[in-house]
Amino acid sequence: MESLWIALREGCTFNMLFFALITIVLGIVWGAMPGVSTVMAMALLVGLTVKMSPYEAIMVLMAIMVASMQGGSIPAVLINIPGKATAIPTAIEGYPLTQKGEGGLALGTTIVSSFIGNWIGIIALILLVPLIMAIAMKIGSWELSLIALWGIAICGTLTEKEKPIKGWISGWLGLLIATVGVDPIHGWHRFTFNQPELVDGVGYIPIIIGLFGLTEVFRALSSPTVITEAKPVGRIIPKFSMVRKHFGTILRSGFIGLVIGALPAAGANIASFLSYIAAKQRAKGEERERFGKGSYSGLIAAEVADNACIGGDVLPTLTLGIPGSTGMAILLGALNFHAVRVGPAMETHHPGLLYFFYISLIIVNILTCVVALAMIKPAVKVLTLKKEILMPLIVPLCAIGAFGINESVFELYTMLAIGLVGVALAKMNYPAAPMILGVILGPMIDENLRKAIMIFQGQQASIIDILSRPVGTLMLVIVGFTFYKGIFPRKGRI
Amino acid sequence: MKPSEERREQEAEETPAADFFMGIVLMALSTGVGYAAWSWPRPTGMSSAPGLLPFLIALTLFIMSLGVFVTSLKNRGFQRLIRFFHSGDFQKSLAGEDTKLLRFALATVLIYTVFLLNLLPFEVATFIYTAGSLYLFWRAKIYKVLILAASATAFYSIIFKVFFRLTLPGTGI
Repeated sequence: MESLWIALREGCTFNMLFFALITIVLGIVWGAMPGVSTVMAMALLVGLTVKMSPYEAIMVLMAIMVASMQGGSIPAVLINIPGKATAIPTAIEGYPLTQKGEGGLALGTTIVSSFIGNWIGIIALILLVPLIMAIAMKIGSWELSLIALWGIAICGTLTEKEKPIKGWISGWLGLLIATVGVDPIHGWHRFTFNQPELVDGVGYIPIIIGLFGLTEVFRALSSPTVITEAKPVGRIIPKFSMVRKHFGTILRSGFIGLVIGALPAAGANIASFLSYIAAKQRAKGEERERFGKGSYSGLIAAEVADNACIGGDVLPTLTLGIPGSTGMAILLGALNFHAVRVGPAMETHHPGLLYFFYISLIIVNILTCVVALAMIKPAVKVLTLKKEILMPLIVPLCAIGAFGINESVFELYTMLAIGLVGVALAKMNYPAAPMILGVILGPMIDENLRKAIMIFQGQQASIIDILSRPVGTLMLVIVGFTFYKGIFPRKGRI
Repeated sequence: MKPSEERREQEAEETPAADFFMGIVLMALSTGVGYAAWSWPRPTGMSSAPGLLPFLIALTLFIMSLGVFVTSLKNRGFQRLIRFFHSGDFQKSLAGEDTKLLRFALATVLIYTVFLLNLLPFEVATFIYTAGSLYLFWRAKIYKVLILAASATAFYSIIFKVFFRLTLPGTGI
């Protein structure tokens, strides 16, 4: 109860609610702009959270994540340009509804569906966190290193489905970057090249801003201009009977979103597509006919799954310290900067922080729903803002974010270098998300793997002894299976 | 042929050449990292050696890069790379509108971060960068560009210096 009280005291202050409200407004406007992602918003804000308390940093990052995902539905429904990959099914069903003059109702439906989806995620999170944390307390260094390794491997597989090897390479490059700096056990300088700036390693925040901020700026500025025209929105709030009618779809989509979200980096885009396909397959008669021509069922399925995914994303992040998505990896990076270590012992080291996560999600969800319903009409105007105006204005923000952490020009150059590397990798179809995961999880793998080997040596453990650890062996099998499925996708299909 | 099919075919053509190049770069990188990691001291044996993880990463990265390299060879990556440089495609891609815009974007950001922020206070550097970039990419009337650049610079300065109390990059620190 003491922890809950601490969380409530921190979460329900005027300042905190004000921070949340401002960030939600910014997040919705940001999400409504085609071509800028939720991850980019988080990457830009993460540098600014350095001067905040860990509680404020969590609230701001959760708010920007939820709100910009919500905002992404606006261009999808009104101008057929998904503001984010997750909104593609929303565009498929939402835009035809706009053409029929039901754009406002379609947008209102996405907002209400997102609200319900978030609640599904929050409730599941509250119920499942204690259970997973109890299991996680029994996990040793060996298992932790394997879980972290699997996180990077599965992220590589899921972000580059055609050639998972490219996703893995990206993750491995991140791991390599993570090894730069003083070795935590013997104090040996690794890859520092006698540069004092590299002794503490390469900071994740300039890397995050470089990969998701600067790279996106370069890509957006070098792509052709899209001329957009927003349609009038009309009626907004859906009737309760619509929610009741699609209750089965809501439950099914919520479950899909949760499960997919809990897989590292298996982002909301997979969840929204899977859920949309499931809804289409389950639809009968007239409802099935409406798919592709403006189906509320398809719209609800995609949006509920998309948002339930957030709860799923938070679950492995809080319990195991393995980010459930790139956004969560950024959040983890911000928390690491505040010396907050998430994982099974979080409640012992930071009482109240776990409950604060729940409270922040609840506050953000309620505020986002209210603000989004109120902001639909003004947000539509943002759709006409050209990327040629927006992108040059983002670059100083990237510079402020990267520089602000340690007030170091070196971090500014790191951001620039990583941004250039990001452009080159993107041109060759190497995904960026596994690299971030590699950078963040690298120190965890390094320390735990070496600790585990030293413990095994001290105990003179044989291979049989190592394999008799059930969680470790299970993780070894899962890691092996992930690589096998990536290398032999057809042969491995069940 | 549909445009999407054309694009897919074009991508399929381009990737092996890039993979061939990237395979070599990554193999060289992993060899260098592996060699460095192996040569580091091992105070209490290999199990706790500082080079253990970098060596394992380098080894597995080498294997993966070899995979990418061999696949690219099978898909005629080397020939495609040679053809790309000799058939005039390289010159064409350099002269293309996308590449030109990318070059502008890279150059402006490079000038801003490496030169302007090192020589000038944040406000002056940011005004010059935003005005220059907006003029290049937006191509609107000069007074609109200047007003927007000045407003954005003032906004950043007030918000981050006054409200967030952050130290901004630039010589004014």
